[in-house]
Amino acid sequence: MATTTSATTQQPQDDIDSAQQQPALHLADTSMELVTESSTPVPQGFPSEEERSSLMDKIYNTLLDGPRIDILSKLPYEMATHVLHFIDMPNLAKVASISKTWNDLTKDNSVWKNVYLHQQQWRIRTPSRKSAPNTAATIDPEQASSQHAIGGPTRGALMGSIIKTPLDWKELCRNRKALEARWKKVPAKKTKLHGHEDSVYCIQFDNTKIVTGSRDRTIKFWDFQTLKCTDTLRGHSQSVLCLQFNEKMMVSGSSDNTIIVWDMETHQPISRLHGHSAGVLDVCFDDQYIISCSKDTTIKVWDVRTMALIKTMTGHRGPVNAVQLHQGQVVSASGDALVKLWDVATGVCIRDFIGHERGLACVQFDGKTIVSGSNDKTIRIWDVASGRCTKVLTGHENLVRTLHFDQNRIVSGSYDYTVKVWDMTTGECILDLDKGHVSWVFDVQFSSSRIISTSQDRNIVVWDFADSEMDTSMFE
Amino acid sequence: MTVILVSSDNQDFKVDKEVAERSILIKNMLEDVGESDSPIPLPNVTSAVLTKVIEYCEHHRNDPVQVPEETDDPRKRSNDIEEWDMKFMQVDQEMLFEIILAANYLDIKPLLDVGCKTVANIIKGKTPEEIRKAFNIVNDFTPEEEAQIKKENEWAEDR
Repeated sequence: MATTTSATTQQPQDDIDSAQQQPALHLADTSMELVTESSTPVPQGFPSEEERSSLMDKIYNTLLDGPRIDILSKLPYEMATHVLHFIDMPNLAKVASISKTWNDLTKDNSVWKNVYLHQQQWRIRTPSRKSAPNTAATIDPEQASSQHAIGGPTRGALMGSIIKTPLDWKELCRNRKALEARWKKVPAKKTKLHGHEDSVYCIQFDNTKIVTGSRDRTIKFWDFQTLKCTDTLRGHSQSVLCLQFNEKMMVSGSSDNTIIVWDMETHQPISRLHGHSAGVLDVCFDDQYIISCSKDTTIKVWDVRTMALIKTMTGHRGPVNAVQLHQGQVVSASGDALVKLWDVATGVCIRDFIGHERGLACVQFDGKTIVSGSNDKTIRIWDVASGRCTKVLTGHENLVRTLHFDQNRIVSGSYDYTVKVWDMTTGECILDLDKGHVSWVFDVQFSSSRIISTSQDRNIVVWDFADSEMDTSMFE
Repeated sequence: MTVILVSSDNQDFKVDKEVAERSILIKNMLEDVGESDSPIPLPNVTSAVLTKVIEYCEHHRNDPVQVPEETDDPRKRSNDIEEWDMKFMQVDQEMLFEIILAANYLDIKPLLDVGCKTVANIIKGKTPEEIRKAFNIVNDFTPEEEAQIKKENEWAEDR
């Protein structure tokens, strides 16, 4: 097994300290005593952009005054590359063009690893410890290389195709940048999955499988690579409206008013939760709670271990169409046009987010930001701390039924039959996918390279942004 | 409590223990020897550089100790330098170079980072010609090589 990238990414400090001369014990005469005074406290803080650039000019000019040295070339290698750890991608290209020595420094793998990981959304995938050969999970990128060493190529050819050791971080940067650029254009590759006999209400996928729930009362599993249906689960007596899964279990909700908890290994039902008096419109869970919301206007909290009903949270005056759980807090969206934030432990509604003019269909929440979609055709972005609406995104021509966001983008699906991609920062619509569905869009999810949407037209559409030469297997 | 640091040119610097311990190297040394008033020799640091380093440690004596995992996480890494540190770094190149080396040797991670960020920020704000001028670098590429390098890294340039 080749050396992993961890060898080149150790904290520079370690290497240099050992390389440098250790202080020999050397006791000098006390020839002079210099007592430094405590400096008066200066207000801490970062300069404004203007002050910063004026200070940088001063620093630059002071440097020009004295003797000039090629500081990067003279510094020990690890310190020179540490300087480059503070340089972004476009400037690295500039550094490479300065001289041969500088160009050599930019070839350091740790420099590109740093640039890659500095991009908040550029996550990297690595096999999880317990995983089957073709499953993977997101982990702390710093652990990635060591895990490769453990996982090893012993698991056969398929594993070998996923793990490349050592990772070429410059190549990853180049590919990822190209992939991101492709999100500005309608993807050339679009695949339709046929199989459900009626509307497809819900979807979730990871990098091995796609799982969908339908009005045909079934849940279908699809292989992520071949896009073939691999299993059909029956259990609900009416439409499957919502589902969420992790490696161990799946929770699905139905218009038969019940929730089924499934074993993800055997695909068999473990438990059926009764309690709601109308259709279960959305579900989510973590390692503590299962949260469900219903047309009966309530939100129910269940113990994920015992499956017992813990509490019912009431307050909405219309059907609760969507819920999202994040670290003990729940955000809900209802037909009463309100987004509510709840504390699960106390069952108390902490805050209302008021602004939408008509009922809400979807919501997502990451602890800091809430994004909601409404029958008023808009998407709103909310700041949780202040309760303020920070942006209103307009463009859809009908109810916004579904959305999914990360720090970069929002992908939404609407009853106007389109799927749209929005820039999270500017709020602009950057992509309009109007050639996929011929009826209402019900659910949407995206990854670094794909959007998958489902619709009343019975189709599941996989929009693939990667081209065939692009290796996206490592991207999360 | 104070400790005495001895520079490579045999000058003594009497500093508060709290200030000296901004250096992890010194902190570990003091922990190893226990309570002792023996001067601590720093044979890799000249008095001029040590004066600067102590000035930095004095100013930052009350800073919370940085958690290495946090400062080394590329996702959290920032190029911002606080105003006092920027003014502190207004030095000639020899001194900038020496401060970086000393910060590394003394294991003062925040100072090492400030030094490296200063160099990085100069590089970021300047054109290749200005960079070569500032650091007295000769462009040793042939025109063909330069064109080749530009081509290789073109993709990284556009924002």
